[in-house]
Amino acid sequence: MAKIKKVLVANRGEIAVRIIRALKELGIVSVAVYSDADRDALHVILADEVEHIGPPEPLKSYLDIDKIIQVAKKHGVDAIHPGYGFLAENPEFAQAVIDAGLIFIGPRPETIRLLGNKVESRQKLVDAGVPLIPGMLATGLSMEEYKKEAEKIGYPVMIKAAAGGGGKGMRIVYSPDKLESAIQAAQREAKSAFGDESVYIEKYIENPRHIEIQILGDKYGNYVHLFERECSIQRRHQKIIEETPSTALTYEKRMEMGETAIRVAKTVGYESAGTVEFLFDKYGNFYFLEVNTRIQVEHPITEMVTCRDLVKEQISIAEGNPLSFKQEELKQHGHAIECRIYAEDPEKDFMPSPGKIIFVSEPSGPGIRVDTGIYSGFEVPPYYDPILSKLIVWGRDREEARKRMIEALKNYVVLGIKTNIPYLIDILEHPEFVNGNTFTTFIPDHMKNWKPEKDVPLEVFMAVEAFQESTSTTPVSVSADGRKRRVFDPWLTVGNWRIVK
Amino acid sequence: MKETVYVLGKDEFKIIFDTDGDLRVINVNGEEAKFKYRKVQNHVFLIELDGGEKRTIYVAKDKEKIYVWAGKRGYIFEEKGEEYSATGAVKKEEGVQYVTSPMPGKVVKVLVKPGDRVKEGQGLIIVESMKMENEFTADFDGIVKEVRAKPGDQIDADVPLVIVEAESGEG
Repeated sequence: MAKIKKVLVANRGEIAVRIIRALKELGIVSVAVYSDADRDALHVILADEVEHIGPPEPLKSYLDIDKIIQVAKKHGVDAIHPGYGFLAENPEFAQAVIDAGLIFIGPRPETIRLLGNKVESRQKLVDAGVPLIPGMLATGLSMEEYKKEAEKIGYPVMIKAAAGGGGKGMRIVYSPDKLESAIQAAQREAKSAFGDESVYIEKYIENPRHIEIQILGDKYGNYVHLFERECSIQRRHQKIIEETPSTALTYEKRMEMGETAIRVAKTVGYESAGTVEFLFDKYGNFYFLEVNTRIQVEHPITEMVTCRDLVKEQISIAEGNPLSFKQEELKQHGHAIECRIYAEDPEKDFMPSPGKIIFVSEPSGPGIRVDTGIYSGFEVPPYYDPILSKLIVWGRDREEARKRMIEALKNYVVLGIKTNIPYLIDILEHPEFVNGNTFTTFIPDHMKNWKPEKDVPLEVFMAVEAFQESTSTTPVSVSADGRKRRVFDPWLTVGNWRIVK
Repeated sequence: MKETVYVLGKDEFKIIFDTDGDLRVINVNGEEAKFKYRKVQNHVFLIELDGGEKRTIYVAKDKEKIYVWAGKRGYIFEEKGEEYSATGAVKKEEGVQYVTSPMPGKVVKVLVKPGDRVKEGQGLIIVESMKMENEFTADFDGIVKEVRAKPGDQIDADVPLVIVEAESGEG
């Protein structure tokens, strides 16, 4: 067993801060790396040692494997934590770390490589009995063969164009008598859209939810799952609100999914923290999507309900310790929700909104956690993912957590750039969210034409004028009736001026 | 008494601000109200309304914009009359569109060249920022007068990249 004494964090932003905090608590020396754009970033402020690694462009800094290994050697670290994104799921990086004689805090490179290859890993998992979305990739069949396949898969089925994308050539068929005309229509549409009429059939998932299971594995073949996270609230496949437990799962279903996730972990010999993602339909069927071989953005909600620290557990596993708890010891307590705070403008099609943050005031109170990468005066660089921070709340039940989150968001003040906070509040207040009807179609179904309230309350202008008055440099005079008046002296506005004659 | 026009998106608000002893008087597009305020710390204002209700509102200002957080909604105002951008180079004129990016980034693609006729809503230039590509479009039918950027350029916010002139009604 190798005691880790010093760790390089190969990341930036809130996740680098999160990892550095865990390292400090463990008494491990932290080394931060930073690009030109991140000289004043929070992870640089907090780390014990820091090293500049290049220009802002990720390829020349946070994605530069050689440079990061070089810095790791220079600072004499024992291990590297990759965070999420950047090099986290790059098997070459994991291998390079090991080849340099260091510990990679994450899964083995061959596991990352295998699970990154969707075709190969899916076959392996099907053989192990993990359910995939029923369907077939064969095209150009006769109508009779298509009919037979559809019966086998079970209605409703989805017809998809082989060359497809963007919904073109897609048809949902609910009964056998509609199949033939739908296939012909889909073929015509596919032909005109892609010049290729090949179509195939897949099971249509009604009211799909994204439900994932957190897993942990050690070097000795021990595996646990830490229950589910529901991440159905997504905008363009980007998760924005996550919660646990899911409103859709019974105890039995939760255990069944957990056991399936452990089967996935065992099949590939998974080591460290990972996430098995499933699509969940309205009948309670679930289908394997993929494994994320990293610590995930939304890991804090699992930490809140299980009272475990996933980052510390990753470090412990990397040191060669067996898992520090058994499945039977794990329970879900209460309910947790996470909102991702992004620097983007929800009024303008979520255009990124980097720039200087003039003032930040973060919410606090019982059950509130803020994993942040920002502070007052920080300049959000335009080069990286627009995530600023994550707001996580815990409540005894979902309704308490939901209301706590709304109040926390209202008290999350970020001045100087635009954020998605008003948009998040409206999702959390939406009746369908309140009722737990959270499907992956939530955003297109309910938030499509979102606009903030148009009316500007009078008090907003009161505050603006109060601000202007209190920061004004214009002299104020008191007139005979005792009223204060601003002096508008034209001579004060002339600027560079002198009498020449 | 002070009069200011604030611009929020396409809306304009004419504000008349005055004092009345301890009280402040505000008139927003003709609607008048009295209030008191206290600055608790930089950027944090307690507003006491006429009926005694209290609001906490956060305000900050940079060179050209005023940022407000009112507890559920944020607002970004510009003062009318200050029609010069941070660079001081761009004067807003009728019938001329100075296409600028609101954030720094990298030019990915220039979709037009000088002399091109463009339609309202037509894409002019694509700028990458925060791993997203953003297309900037023409505000009206017109002719491309100037292109000041090329693919690969690192650009600052609010610097003119493309200039479009509206086509005059007479053609």
